[in-house]
Amino acid sequence: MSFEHRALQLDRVSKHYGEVRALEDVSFELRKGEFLTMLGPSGSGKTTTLRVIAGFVEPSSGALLIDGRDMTGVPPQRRNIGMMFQDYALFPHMTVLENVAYPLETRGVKRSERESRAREMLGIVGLADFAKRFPKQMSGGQQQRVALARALVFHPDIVLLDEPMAALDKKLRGQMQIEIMHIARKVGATVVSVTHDQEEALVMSDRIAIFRAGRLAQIGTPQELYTRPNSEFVADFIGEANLLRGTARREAGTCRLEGPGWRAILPADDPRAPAKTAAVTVVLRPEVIALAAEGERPANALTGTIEDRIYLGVEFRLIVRLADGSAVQVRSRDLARISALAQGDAVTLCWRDEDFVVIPG
Amino acid sequence: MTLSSPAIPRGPTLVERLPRGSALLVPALLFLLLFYVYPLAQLIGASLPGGSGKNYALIFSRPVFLRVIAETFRVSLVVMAVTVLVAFPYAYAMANAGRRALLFLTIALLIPFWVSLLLRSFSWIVLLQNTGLVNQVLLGLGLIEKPLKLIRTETGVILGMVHVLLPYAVLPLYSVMKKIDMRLMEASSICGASWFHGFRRVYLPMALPGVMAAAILTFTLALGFYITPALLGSPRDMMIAQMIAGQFSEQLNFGLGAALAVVLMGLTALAFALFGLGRVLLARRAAA
Repeated sequence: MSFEHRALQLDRVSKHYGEVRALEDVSFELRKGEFLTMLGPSGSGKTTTLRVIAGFVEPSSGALLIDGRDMTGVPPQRRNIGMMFQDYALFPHMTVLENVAYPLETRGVKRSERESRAREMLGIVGLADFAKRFPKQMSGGQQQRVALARALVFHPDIVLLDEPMAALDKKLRGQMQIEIMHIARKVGATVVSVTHDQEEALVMSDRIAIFRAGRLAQIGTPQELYTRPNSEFVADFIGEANLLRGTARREAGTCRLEGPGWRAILPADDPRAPAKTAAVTVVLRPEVIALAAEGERPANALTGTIEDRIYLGVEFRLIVRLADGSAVQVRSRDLARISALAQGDAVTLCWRDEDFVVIPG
Repeated sequence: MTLSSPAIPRGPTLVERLPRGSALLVPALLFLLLFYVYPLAQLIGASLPGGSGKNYALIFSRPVFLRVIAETFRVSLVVMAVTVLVAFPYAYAMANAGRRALLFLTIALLIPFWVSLLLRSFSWIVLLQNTGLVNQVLLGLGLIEKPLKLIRTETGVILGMVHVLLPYAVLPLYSVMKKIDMRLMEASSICGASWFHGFRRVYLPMALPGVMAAAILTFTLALGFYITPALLGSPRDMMIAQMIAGQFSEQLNFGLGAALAVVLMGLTALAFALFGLGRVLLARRAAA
C-alpha cells in the first residue's frame, strides 16, 4: 500500500482520570475531506475524543497526528482546528462579523482582508446581511451558522462539531444537517462531529465511529455498520435489530444455526460460520424478514404467533412471539397477505442467506 | 342597563398607582428620613450660617483646603487602582476554583473583614514599624541595611487602605466573573488566540462591568477614609475626613466642618456620576 497522507490519525489514544478510564486504546484515521461522526451514549468517550483532538485534553498515552504532524504538547491555538461548540460559544460582546473574523485576527490578518474574508464566509452560510448584529439578536439556527462560519473561515485542517444539533428544535435539525454537510463539502473541510442521535449520524457522515464505555466499538460507513455490525451493541445502536440467540453446529458440509423457534443454514465456507460448535447471536433487521409461502419449508425460518399487527400506511409492523417468549419485530409491505392474518395466528417467517449477521456469543 | 349620565371614570388614586408591596418600604423610608435625610439637612443648614456662603468661599480660597481635597482624590485614585489590580487575580482565582479552594479563598478574604477597622490599622503599625516584621525580615535577609520607613508615610496609608478595601473590590468582580462562561476562552484558543490575546479580547471586556463596580465602590469608600490615614500616615498625608473631624473636635468650627463634609459629599456624587456616565457610554458603544 502506498503512503498516503492522513488528515487525522489517532493511534491507541487513552485517557485515564485516576481509576476512571475515559478513553481506552482508540485508533482511527481520517482522509482529507471526510465527514466522520462519533456516535455513542453519554459517557462513552466520544466527547473526550473530540477534546483530545482539539487539544483541550492531553491523552494519557497514545499519539495524535494531524496531517502527519505529532500533536503532543501542541496547544489548541496552534493546531489550526475549527470548532463549533454545543451552545456555539459565540463572543457575546462582539458583532457577528467580529466573531467570524476573530480567528483571522488572532492569525494577524490585516483588518480589511479579514473583514472581506469574514463577509465572504457569512455569505456562504447565508448570513450576508447580519454582519453588524450581535449574537443575542439572532435565532438559534442563525447563531449556529455564525459558529460554523467562525469554525471554517480560516480554512482549518480539521473542523470539530460538538453535538451540532443539540440546541436546535426538531424541525430545524433536518434542514441544518443537510446544510452543514453541503457547506463542509463546498469548502472541502475534514469534519469530526459528535452526536448521540443515530439519525443525524446516518444523514451527515461518510463514516461513523461508534463508542461504548471508552472504547471504539466499530467504525465504518453507515451501510457497513447497518449491514455488518460486529457486536450486539452496534446492531442495536444503529437502526432496529432482532437478536436471536442460539447455537451454531458444523455438520455434513454446512453450518446449522438453531435456537428456540428458529433455524438457519450457512454454507461451511461462509465467513460468518463459526469454525466449531459455539453460542451465537443472529442479527435480523425487521425489513429483511418475510412471510413464508403457503406450505413452504424455508431453510432460514422462525415460527411463532402474531401478537400485534400494526398498519402504518406503506407497511405493516408485526410483532411475533416465539416459543421461548421473546418477540421479533417485522416490517413488511406484503399488505395483502398480512391483512388476512389475525392476532394469535401461527406464522412461519423466512429470510435470505445474505440478509443476516452472526455474532459470536 | 340604565342610561344615566356617563360616569366619569375615576383615575386611580396616588396610593393605588404605587406598585404592589410598596408598603413594605415604609419602615426603611422612615428610617432614612429620620436618621439620614434630616441630619443631612441639618448639616447643610449648619454649613450656611445665616444663609451666608462664607464657609464655602473660605474652602475654595485657602490653598490648604484645596490641597487636602486634591490629595484625598489622588490617594483615593491610587488606592482604587491598586485595590482593583490586586483584587482582579484574586477574584479570578475564586471564580475558577473548586469548591474547597473557593471556601478557603472566601474565608481568607472575609475573616479580616470581620475584624474591627481600628484593630487592623494597629496591626499594620505592628507590621510596618521600624522594628516590625516586614523590616526585620528584610534586614534578616540582608536585602536592606537600615529599616525602611514604612509607617507614617503615604505607602503605609495606601497599604492599609488597600487591605481594608480589598473585599469591596473582590466581591463585585467575583460575582461578574463567575458568570463568564469559560468555554468562551476555549473557543478563543481554538480560534488561534494565545491566552493573553483571549484575555484581552474576550475575558476582560466581559469582566469590565465588575471592574467598574469594584472601582467605583473602592474609590468612593476611599474618599471618606479616616482611621487608616490617621494611624498609618503623617500629618502631611491628611485626608479630608481627618480635616472635617479636626474642625468639629479641635477647632470647634462646626460651620466649616459641615461645609467640608458637604463638599466631600458633592465630590463623591460627582465621581459617581462620572463612573455612571462611563458605564452608559460603554454600554452604548457595545450596543451600537
